[in-house]
Amino acid sequence: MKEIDPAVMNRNFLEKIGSGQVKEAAEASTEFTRLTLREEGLLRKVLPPKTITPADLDKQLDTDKPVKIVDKEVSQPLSVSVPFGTLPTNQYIRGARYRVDFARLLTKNYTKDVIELGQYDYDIRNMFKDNAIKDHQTLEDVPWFNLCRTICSSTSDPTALVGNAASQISGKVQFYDFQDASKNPYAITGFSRDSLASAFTIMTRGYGDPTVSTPVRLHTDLCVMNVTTGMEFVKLLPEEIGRPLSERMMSEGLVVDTFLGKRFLFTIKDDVVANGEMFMFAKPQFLGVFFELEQPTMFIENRAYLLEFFIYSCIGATIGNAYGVAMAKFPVP
Amino acid sequence: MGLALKLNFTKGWPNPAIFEVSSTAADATEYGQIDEGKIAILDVNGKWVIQSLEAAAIGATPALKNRMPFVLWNGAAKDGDHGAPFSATNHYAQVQWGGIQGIGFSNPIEFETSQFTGTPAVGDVLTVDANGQLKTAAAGDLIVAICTKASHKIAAGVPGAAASTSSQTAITVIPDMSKRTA
Repeated sequence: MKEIDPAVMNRNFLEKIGSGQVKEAAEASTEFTRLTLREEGLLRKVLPPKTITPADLDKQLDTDKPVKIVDKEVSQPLSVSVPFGTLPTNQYIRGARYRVDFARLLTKNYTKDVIELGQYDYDIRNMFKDNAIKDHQTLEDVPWFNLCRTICSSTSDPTALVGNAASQISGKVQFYDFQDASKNPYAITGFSRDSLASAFTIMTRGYGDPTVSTPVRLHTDLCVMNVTTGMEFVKLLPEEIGRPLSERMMSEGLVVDTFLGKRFLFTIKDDVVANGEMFMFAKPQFLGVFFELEQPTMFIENRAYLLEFFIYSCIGATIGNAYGVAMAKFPVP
Repeated sequence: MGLALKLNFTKGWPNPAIFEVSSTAADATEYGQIDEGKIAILDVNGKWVIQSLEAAAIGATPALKNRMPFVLWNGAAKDGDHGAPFSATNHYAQVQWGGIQGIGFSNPIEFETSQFTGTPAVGDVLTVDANGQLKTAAAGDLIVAICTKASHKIAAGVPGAAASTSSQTAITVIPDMSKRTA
């Protein structure tokens, strides 16, 4: 792509606004906004968003806010072995559903006198816009991970997780704490091949009465931790990860994103995923849904010499299967 | 939850210059009390609290007189965009975006609200009770609003006999930020 002088870009942008082509400028910026969503945020990688339209929504009796109802699988009775001549008993079929409500996300309304805007040698408008998009993504991520903590917590306090204690939502243990040997069933502490492999058993352990219905069992598909915690992989010795990988990481750093057959996502957002935390997610179809009703859109207005712009979107997400989330905590300061 | 309108701004909202705050309830108990049209204040953490501003409450905590009342609007009816809490019994959980919007009493607004008790008359000065509802102020109560139209029906868009779905009984008020007591 040919480099364009930012000062020229600012003036061209202003000319478009000045000539009354506000819609074109908005559309161009809107297109540019979508194309340059470089870092899609963590939630978007865990649960890829599906764009829907108002026609896809489900009207409700109790609200005129946008709502989407999603069906989900339920447990069902097991088969039985019977003598000849026995007829089956009846079981009426009924499924379950869950609700996805939506909310609007907004950036600040950025304002500038256009005279001042043209005096910058870099595209300051674009910089603010790009940063605003990143803020938008962080706003998507923070509540998601707070919700994951809530699901894994044995109390309603997502900041006070207790290892090896049943989730208040699912009734199943969904958090192992490897900072304390008494807070995980393996009595392991520290970050090691052992503790990592043990963490993956959270989801694979069956939950539910096996005499009534098939227990809930899932596989971890994606793990999320921050890069500080990720450095613990680099510290693993050859006898844990093999000499070739150990040597490679010694020279190249954390270059692998698959360990023990699980995909890993390493994030720099240590304010969203704290040091030592590892979130484990099942495949999206076993986890939940993330809908975009309004994709991130920029609104621009120029009144005389004052330029204003902000970005807005409308999204909704629900973890429909609370068993599809698990957490582990390692001693990483 | 429901489509019945409990609050209607007759003047002043929407307005890009309006002073409004979007926040969440201070705790689960407060969340249970919050509803559209109720009057709330922000606690020291910036969270919504339903708080009486009557004489007894003011006497116990004089600093309450300094708090700005807000009328709760979007999201307060627990109908979606505040971020619904998880459903433990149904094993699903919604991600909590959105919030509960409050319109500050410092704004030049007039609104109809069904969140009142008693029979305020035109010109009556009003305070807030422990349920966040407006009532005619008694001696010592903090005055937060003035009644500009006594009890009347406001249409919710569905004609019919049932009051809860067809219309609400409301009063019309304007804020009073003089911080005087009755």
